Amino acid sequence: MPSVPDPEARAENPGSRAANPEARAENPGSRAANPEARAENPGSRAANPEARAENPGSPAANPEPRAERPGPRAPKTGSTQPAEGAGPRAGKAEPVVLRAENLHKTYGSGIFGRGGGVHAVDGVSLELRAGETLGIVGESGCGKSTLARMLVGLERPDSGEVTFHGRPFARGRRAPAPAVRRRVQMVFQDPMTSLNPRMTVLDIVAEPLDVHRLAAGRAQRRDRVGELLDLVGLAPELMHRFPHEFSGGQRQRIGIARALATDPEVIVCDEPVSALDMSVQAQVVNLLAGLQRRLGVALVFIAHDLAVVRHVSHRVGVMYLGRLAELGPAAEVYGSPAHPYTKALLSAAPVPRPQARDRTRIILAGDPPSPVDPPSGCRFRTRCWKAADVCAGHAPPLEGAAAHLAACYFPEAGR
Amino acid sequence: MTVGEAALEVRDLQVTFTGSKRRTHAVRGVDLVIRPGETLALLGESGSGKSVTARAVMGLLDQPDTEVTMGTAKLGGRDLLAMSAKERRLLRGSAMSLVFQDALSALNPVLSVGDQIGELFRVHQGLSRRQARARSVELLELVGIPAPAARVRDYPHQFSGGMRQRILIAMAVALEPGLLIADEPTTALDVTVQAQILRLIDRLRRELGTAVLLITHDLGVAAEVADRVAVMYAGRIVETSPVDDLYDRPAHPYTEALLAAIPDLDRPAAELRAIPGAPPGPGAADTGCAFAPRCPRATAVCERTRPELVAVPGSPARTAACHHLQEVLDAVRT
Repeated sequence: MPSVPDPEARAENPGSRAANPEARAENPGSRAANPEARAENPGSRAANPEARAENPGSPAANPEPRAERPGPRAPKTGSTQPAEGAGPRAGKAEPVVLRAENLHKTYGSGIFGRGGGVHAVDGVSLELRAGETLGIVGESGCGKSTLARMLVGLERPDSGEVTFHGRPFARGRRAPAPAVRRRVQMVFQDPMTSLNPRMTVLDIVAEPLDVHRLAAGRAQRRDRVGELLDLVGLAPELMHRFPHEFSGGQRQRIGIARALATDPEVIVCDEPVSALDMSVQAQVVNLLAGLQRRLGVALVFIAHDLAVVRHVSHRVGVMYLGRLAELGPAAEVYGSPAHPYTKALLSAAPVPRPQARDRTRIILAGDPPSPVDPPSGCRFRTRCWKAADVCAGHAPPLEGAAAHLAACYFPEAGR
Repeated sequence: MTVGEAALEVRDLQVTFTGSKRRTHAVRGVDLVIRPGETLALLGESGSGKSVTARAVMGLLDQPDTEVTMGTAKLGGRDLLAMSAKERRLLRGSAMSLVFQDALSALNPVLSVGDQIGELFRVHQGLSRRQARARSVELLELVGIPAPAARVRDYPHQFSGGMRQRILIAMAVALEPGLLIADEPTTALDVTVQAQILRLIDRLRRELGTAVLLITHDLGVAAEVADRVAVMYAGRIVETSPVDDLYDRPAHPYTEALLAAIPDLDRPAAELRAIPGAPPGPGAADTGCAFAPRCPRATAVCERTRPELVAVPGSPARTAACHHLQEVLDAVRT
């Protein structure tokens, strides 16, 4: 039962207060009955055990912190929601497919013996439910790509763990089990360099089938590739061509077909449209949204373009310097941002309407600090207009009412 | 359009690359007129010829395997075509200057930023090292670099991306040119830094009265800073318009489709209206309208005859190149 902590898991993550993840994921329903397990559920809170200890009551007071509630929407516009009908909003019962718990990753420490590594990801916890799209936005260097690579097992976290249906992705130095790897696929940013120029489209898309021995015989392999190309809107006859014969948008479709080949439950898309021309971006965005509706695959959609993320995501996480600043339903994060950074980011984004030019804007001073030597406490405090002494101390925990969480001591009111 | 003293007037700009076996016609007859103190955004996707246009105007394409022809080229009333190459070179940096997209590769890594900015004053105005250094500090201050007197000795790698872009802009406005060409100045920058840089360019334009040619692919950036917008597609300008009209009531189907294809932060739609197909390559055949294969309004005439860029009926400040101009204007926009 989820209430019984797994001593082994604890031993591996002493700070994370993780209960046995396996038991939890297999019994998603029982969580509601068990206040203790529930309190542990908003994983990122585990990143800040001390802060939590100071507010022991707050998460427990909240009946279902992570639930996808259809609750209050963006008060501003009352607009339509992206990709409604994909399901996860409606179903509280959607199981958690992928869970990241207190991930840390530091690069390059100790190469020159000085220990000044790049703190790319510093305590990120999140979970992805079946059939939902979780958008991650952030500026360059905020660690979103590193997070993506850890979520698919291409990078190993220094500490913390990624679990797939409650099973740890990889333990110790071992590679993720093929059965897990098969179900979590990735679409890369640059369709020019992520396809081998010397392989035909058939071989590129069939490679995952070969690796996981999913096709018996050449005819079946060819049929399956044809099916996949059809799924992403490419004519199956094109399978004998080479990547250079395709445009950028078509190449990204090939990359998506390859990711779909193993019938994954999760696809992590790292900036899937930012290398594409603006007239082609919409095609790929629509394709991903359509595939999700048809196949029910869960997506992690990582991008720096706020409007694109808003468009495709059910929930959105905002990253700043390796940490999640805010996490919540897309309409709430965009409609009433709680973290000052989210507010500044939204306010700085150029709006394709000249009339909006004179809106009041928050222009942040300076650049994001270097992840080699991040500020203490809240990492945004060096650019934040609300920063006070408390911000330099402990990092603020990611918390909030309902499903809308923010890591700030002075969150914006009006939520 | 008749303009007395345009900061820049270019007519019928053609650029052809002849390096490889086939000729690539990258810019096919572009007219540009920018008034002093005005910001013109040249909007286009990759391969539309917008950056080539900027380089041709700057005279940076005077090299083998490149044919550049212009009917008219006047910079602040001076006829560029009548000048020698040497005279034109002296104008670069002093009368017109260029801000590149990638500040790290545009700056010399082995010279301090003070030396690089100071070089402008030493070459163009014959100032001494000491004087040039003093002017460099002033400029760094102008573009908002903290502690300029200390940082003037630093090298490009010691600055962040946003600061490097500020330094490039400082160099571009150092000699108070009449025309500043900014080629995707914020594309490599983060959103929060982008806002700072756009604001800086706009402030300098106001303070110095510089005309700005802003090359961008971003409809949002153009909407934020431009007075007028020229939309390029496949080497040609397909629409020019004051910025408000362009976004409210596009005259060309390409502009119309682009506006429908980008997600709007404040008004999320259920489905983006994607434009089918991909932009033509620069070497594509040139019969009919280049956008016709992707255009929902295309008819037989679009494939046969190329539409000329003509004044939009009722809006003398606008031009568009479309056979179905009226139809596009009449379309109800949501």
